[in-house]
Amino acid sequence: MSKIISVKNLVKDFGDLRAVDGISFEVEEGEIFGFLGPNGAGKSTTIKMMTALLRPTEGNIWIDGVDVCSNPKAIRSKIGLVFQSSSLDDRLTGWENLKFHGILYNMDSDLIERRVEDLSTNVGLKDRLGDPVKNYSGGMKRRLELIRGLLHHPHVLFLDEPTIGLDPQTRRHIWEYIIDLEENEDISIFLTTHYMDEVEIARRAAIIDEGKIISLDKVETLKKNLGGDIIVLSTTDVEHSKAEIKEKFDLDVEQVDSQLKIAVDHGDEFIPDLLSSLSDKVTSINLREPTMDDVFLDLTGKEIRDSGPEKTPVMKRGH
Amino acid sequence: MESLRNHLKHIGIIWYREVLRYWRDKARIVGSIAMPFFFLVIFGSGLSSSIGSMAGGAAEMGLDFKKFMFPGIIGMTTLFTSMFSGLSVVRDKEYGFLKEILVSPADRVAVAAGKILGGSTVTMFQATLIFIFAPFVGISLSALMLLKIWGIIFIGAILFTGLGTYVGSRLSSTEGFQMVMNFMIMPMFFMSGAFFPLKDIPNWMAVLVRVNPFAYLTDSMRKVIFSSMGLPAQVMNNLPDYGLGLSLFGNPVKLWIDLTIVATLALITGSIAVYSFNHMD
Ligand SMILES: Nc1ncnc2c1ncn2[C@@H]1O[C@H](COP(=O)(O)OP(=O)(O)O)[C@@H](O)[C@H]1O
Ligand SMILES: [Mg+2]
Repeated sequence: MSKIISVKNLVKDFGDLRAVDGISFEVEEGEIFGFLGPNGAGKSTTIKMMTALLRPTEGNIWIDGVDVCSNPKAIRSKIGLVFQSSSLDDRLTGWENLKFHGILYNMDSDLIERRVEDLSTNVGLKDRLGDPVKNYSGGMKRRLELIRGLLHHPHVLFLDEPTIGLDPQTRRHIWEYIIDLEENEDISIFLTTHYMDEVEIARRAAIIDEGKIISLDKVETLKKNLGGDIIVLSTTDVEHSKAEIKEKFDLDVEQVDSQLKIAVDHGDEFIPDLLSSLSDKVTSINLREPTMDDVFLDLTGKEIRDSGPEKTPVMKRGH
Repeated sequence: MESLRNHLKHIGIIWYREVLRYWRDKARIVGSIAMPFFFLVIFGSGLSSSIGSMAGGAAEMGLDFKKFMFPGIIGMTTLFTSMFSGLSVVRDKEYGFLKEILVSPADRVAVAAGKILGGSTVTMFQATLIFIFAPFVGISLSALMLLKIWGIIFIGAILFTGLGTYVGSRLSSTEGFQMVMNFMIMPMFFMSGAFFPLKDIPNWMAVLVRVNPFAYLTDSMRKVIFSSMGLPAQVMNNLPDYGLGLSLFGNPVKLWIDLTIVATLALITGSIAVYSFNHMD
């Protein structure tokens, strides 16, 4: 696969603050690439530099073979962008927002109309395009921004926290739509998020903290590096059980609040052994696949706070 | 040329959005004629008789305070509307819409031009609305006068929309913008002769009036509107003597000089606004 985005040693300083600290990565054509990190990690700043809204302090960015810093105009029509915060004109209707976009991107009227028809049907907004955007719900606004970003057939779509502040059902719809895009459209997607579950729609992801990439790999691999499955259990004497597991199975045990967390291969086969060898009573036990939460905890030793709607079921990729 | 066509389309759509947003805001349209209305009723009626003493001898020639003020009120509407149209840039920043425009392939020059033309169109519309008071004031309208006035309003609107857009491009909060605007508009407004005849004013004020762009705009409007009112040639040729017109170095300022000054400044503020847009993050 060829590289659609290539970033080298990117740095951005705001006064004394180094918001982005020498990051490098590549995005392959046609993939969804995720950028996961807590608030303030430098995700939006990176997107702004990649879309030529901000000048990097140092470093280089190539998109679709174009050097973004020396030739910002040449990438404008090749990229689509959905910002972290709304960028719609809420006094205009949905259709007017799209039409405005199409003309700024030099599309002719026929093409705008056809494209709007297709895209708005796909996201279920077609019947509401005539309403003023101020009457839209949060989810409708996001969908409108999403199809606006896609209107001009960009080669790369940038999504900055695409489901921030949305309810679980709407988030799932948007994820499904993004996954559909990857499968059905000729497009590469760069997505940032601070939601653990959201990055799982990406094929590969970089984990970013304090302006630095601390890990970059396939999402599956990032998860697999943790050792297959995660078992979380509580017992009547957590301290004692922790020592006991370490001694008997020679495994790393992490204590999170009053629970113990173990990463093992084939957790389903391991549970019976574990139960029969613990001397304390097990009050609860839970087996699950690792999430990006676990990855982040493992890499940085801290948890991501504010990871949004807690109980949203994790979406699985089809492959 | 393909790219010229695209630039024009970009200017057009940005202009259209400004006008559309204005048109949808009916409260703003109604509100915009309320203030001139009160000015005309309160000041015009209450102070009608004092024009005689303020502009020595003008009253006998059929000029009352309402007629005196009318061009000033058109000027005021032009000044306020066009300066405040720069608010749309600040609002676009606050609501995030400016990002949508700035990441697009549209050239920044086209964006600034569309904004300035949009604000100017709105200004022309608002200023034209004031003419519904003309019969009440006793001024008869002619097509020729309206055409001349529109030309003047347009040039003045570019001047002050350019200035407002420049300020808007530098600021990021609505409150800040309003502060700066009042700070800029009020002195221009009061030191212009729009509201009181420029007779027997202190020297320092006479100097300020002459460096005030808005004074030249008001002066040109007054000349055009007065000349359609059938004032005696003796008055029209010596407006400064009655406090009704500007003079420079002892000579009455001719209409074409007013317009050259306003147009030159319009070119300058328009360019500054475009430049500032080009260098905005
Ligand atoms: N325009 C700016 N001026 C100063 N500091 C900024 C600016 N934009 C972002 N920052 C700072 O840079 C850091 C990274 O911000 P950002 O890229 O928005 O993080 P994220 O999107 O990952 O939450 C934060 O500490 C933020 O406060
Ligand atoms: Mg962000």
